[in-house]
Amino acid sequence: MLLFVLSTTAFGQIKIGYMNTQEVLSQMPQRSDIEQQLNTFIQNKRQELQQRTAAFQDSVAAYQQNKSSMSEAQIQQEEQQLSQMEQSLNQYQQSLQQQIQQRRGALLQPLYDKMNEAISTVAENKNLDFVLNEATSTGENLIYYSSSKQLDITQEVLQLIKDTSDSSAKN
Amino acid sequence: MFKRLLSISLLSLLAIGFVTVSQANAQQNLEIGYVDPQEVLNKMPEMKAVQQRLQNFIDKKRQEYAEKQQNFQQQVSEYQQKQSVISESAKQKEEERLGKLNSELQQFQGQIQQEIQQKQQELVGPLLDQIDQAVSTVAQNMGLTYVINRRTSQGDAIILYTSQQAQQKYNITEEVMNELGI
Repeated sequence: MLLFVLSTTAFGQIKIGYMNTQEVLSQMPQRSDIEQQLNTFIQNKRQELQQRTAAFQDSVAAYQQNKSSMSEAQIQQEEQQLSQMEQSLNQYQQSLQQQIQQRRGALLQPLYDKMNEAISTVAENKNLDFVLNEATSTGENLIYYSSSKQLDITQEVLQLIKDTSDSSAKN
Repeated sequence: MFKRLLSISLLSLLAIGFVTVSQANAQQNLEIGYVDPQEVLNKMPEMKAVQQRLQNFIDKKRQEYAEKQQNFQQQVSEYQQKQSVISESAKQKEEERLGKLNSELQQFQGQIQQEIQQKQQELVGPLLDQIDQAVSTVAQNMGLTYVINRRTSQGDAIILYTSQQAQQKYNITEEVMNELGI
């Protein structure tokens, strides 16, 4: 009997589970807090950009007003300054997207860590060899079909995250 | 009598065991492995030169763009200087010309992005082909039915979790690197 059990585990089928990571990430209790933090960050950066743009436009307007009373050398100097200002404004605008991406990654990392931890726990409990991702973060299917919903561990992972988040909040 | 019964039950147990094992074996024909191509790519000695060449290409393109941008700004300020002394129709003409120049500049920026991606594919492509070939060789040697990719080139995980046993048994990344002589 023992031999028989051993042989089934040794030659047994590979146990594969799967889950939808995007669903878990979007329903994690910490999610709304992080989204708020990210939105605040984006708003602050946008405000900064608006202020800088306004400052540049003011400088241009002031220059155009005073131009007629300026010497040729002054005009040249002023224009050089304005063009530098414009260039740094453009650079700032281009770096914004990157800054937001970076911030987003940094804020989401703890969520990914927590999710991965929960996946490992659920997989170990269910004795799975593999857990596959159902879809990429851009929504492309990696798994089109599964004959058994029992192999989907999405809800179990989510429940575990919720449970452990609650208890850590109470403590 | 008891001995006889025992041996019969043992026999039938063995028979059941045999049937289940052979069924398991039939299913077991499906042998899988998985590989992390990014991990292999990062360890390939050619990768350093590829990254350097790509960086050089990016720097060159950025320089080109900066020159065009500067040229455009120069023309804008030249126009602003003579703006008050030229006729309305000349003004309109000038502004049209500058507008066109501006959209050309933006187009150039988009084009650079595309060229960089193309260059990357062109440089990394042969390395990916090498990995592809090595994976095939390893898989054939190991008698695998499937080899699964661990993550997409965008960094999305395809395999989220592997048990320690599964890692030892199915991860062929190390073998692929050996095959490539890394």
